[in-house]
Amino acid sequence: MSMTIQNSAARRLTPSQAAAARAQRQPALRLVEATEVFTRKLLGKATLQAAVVLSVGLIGVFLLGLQLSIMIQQGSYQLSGLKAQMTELTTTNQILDEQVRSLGSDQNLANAASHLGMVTNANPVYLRLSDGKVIGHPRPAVASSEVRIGKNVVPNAALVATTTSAALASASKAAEAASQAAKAAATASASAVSKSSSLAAAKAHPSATKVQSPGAKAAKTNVAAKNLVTPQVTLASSGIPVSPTN
Amino acid sequence: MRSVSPRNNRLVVVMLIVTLVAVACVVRLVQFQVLQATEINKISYDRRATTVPITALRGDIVDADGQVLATTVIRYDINAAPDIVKPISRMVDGQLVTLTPDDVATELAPLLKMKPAEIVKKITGTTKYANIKKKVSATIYRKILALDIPWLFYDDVPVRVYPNGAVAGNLVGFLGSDGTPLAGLERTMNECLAGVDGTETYEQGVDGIKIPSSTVTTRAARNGSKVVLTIHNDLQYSAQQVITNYVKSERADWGSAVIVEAKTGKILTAAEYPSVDPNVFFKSKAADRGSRIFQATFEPGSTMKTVAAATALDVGKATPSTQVRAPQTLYLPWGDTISDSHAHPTQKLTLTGVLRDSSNTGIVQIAGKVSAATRYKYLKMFGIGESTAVHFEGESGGIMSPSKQWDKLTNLVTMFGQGLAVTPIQTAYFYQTIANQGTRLPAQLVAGCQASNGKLVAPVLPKPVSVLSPATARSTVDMLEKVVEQGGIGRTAGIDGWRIGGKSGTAQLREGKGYGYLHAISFIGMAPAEDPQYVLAVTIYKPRTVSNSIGATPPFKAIMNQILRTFSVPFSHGKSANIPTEW
Repeated sequence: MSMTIQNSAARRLTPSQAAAARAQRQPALRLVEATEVFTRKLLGKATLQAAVVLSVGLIGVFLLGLQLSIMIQQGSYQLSGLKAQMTELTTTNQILDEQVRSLGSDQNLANAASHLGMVTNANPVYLRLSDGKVIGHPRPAVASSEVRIGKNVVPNAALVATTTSAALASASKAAEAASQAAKAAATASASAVSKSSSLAAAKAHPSATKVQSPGAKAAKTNVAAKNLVTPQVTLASSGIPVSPTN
Repeated sequence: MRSVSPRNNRLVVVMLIVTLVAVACVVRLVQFQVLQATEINKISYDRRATTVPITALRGDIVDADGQVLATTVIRYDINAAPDIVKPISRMVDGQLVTLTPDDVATELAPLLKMKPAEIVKKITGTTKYANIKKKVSATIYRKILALDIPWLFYDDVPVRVYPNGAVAGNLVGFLGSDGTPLAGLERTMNECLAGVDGTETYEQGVDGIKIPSSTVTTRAARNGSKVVLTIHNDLQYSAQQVITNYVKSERADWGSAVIVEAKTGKILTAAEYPSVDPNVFFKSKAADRGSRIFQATFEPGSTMKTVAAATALDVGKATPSTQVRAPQTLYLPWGDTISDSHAHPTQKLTLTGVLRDSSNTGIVQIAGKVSAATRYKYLKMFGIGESTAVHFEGESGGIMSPSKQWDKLTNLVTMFGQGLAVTPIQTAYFYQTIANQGTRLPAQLVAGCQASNGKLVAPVLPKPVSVLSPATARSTVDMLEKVVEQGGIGRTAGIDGWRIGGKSGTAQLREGKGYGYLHAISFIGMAPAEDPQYVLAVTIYKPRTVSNSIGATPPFKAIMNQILRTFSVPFSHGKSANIPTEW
């Protein structure tokens, strides 16, 4: 607008007059520094944005760090807890290990056997299957002989667990029950049985419930029922009879 | 000239002070952060850091099948801190109950098998540490832990346990209460068994929990390796049962049974009585804590006739059927006499017959054809005079003077096992040599040292010694078989179904200057004679109730029976060699 007025006025004035007039009006203009404009703009928008981004970022990093720190802390406690659990389980393992070794020691086994009335046989006799020859002279095994007695005589102070007579009684009861069950089943299917009662009982032991219908199985084999009470001689891989009294 | 105004003066002073303080700070900073940094850091770290030792476990000792003979378990020392002992509170049936230290002691007493008063005495005081009980089992430790007593503290202690007690106890040995190996393989194999303790160092907070970002320095513990023996646990047990019973029933001083695998030289059993239960070794007499099988020497007696006969065969001075007249008593030109133990008219025996009847007068006439120097050389090759390759601690190599020092009588009596002394283990290897076609194998008790990666490092063994020709060895076995087939004592060692070769010994024992009335009786044999696999040497020292008529054959037979059954040895085939025993 002002430019238009100036131009129209200039048309009416001489060039020198116009120049003088222009000179008179000049002080009205002011020099504006570029930086000031820049600063004002940036301060108004960019700086604010940057500050926001920066502080949000800082808070984010701080929170992340905090979270991480908490997690590590938790992990440390968890690790400590798991280590304690491991120690606990190792101890349990050790206790059980000791019991197993004790129960499986020669002394405990020998004592348990003699509790059951078993005696070591100083006079093994063998039956050679190839020709049916009896090797050795059968004599009843007695509770004590010159060099062997059933009772354990080798000391062991490390027995922390021993087979109790109660355990033995229940085991023999279970075996007996199994044997009875097998016998009953055998009579039921009078034609055939699988194996000697003692073997069936041994198989069934310790849980008598396993012997549910041995007769069903038994019917499949062709061993005569009268062999039921005949002790079986099992063969070792080498073809040598394993003594039933071993 | 401008005069200094008082205002300016003050500024200078303040500036100066500020500068000085700043400089002081910088100096201190440099001092702390640069000059003393490491030192201060260390003090700080030491305050936060705790070092926990990681106990290395000692390796197990196992038999040939991996049955554990010695192992390490953790026991717990129960300690109190008397200065902080105070009543504890516990929830019982939803109610808070306060227990006085006396109540706690009463609660602990049955678990620790102690009297409450004893415990009270230990937990009273102002000290920071009082041990209540040492080496409590894990089961009890758990029960105590469950009581949740804040002023009790626990220390883990590794303890050695021998699950099979006295089975192979004399061989395995034992540790002292402080864990120092004191005897047997525990001591000689310590290098394999011992582990190296480790440590773990970390920084911890007040609650004892590791500071998360702190570094952990771990020096891992290296557990000990496993020692695998050649011993067969079950056979060892059954042999110990037999020997224990026999020594007791015959009221002998001691007895031993050694089983050697003829073709490998492995010791499958080294049973003896009195035996030691390593769990409670202190209950045994000091003399019974070692192994007499390796440490005791005795004049072997007639079992040495086999060695003399084999020597004569090997140098070509005799055959199994070489004939000799064996009188009851042989009168020697220089005035000494040699007699047989049993009364008999002069017999016409072969060398085999001499062994069968165990005739002293017969053997000296036949083996006497071999020079003393040659026999000495053979005796050395059979292993007398040096300890076996087992090198058991305190092992004796036997006693034998060089042949040059032998007088005329010693020269003769060495043929029937007098004038020299051997260990039970050596006698077993004389017969192992014969059973193994004349080659004496190094005695082996340790199969190896097994690291956790399963690799078994076998011990370095000396080379086998070729003593006899295979033919000589075979002939000797044939003769030994005749002993068991026909001999008065020998027959009692026979087992139906198998061919067995063996020789008895009834050695007189020196008592003062002469020989006493007590003997060392032995029977050494092998089975099956057609191809010997197992050698069994039984020695009973100073039995009081048996005379030489029975000898050591009952335990020999019982143990041999067990060997045959354990290894399912097939029944023998063929017949013994056709060798005359008389003429």
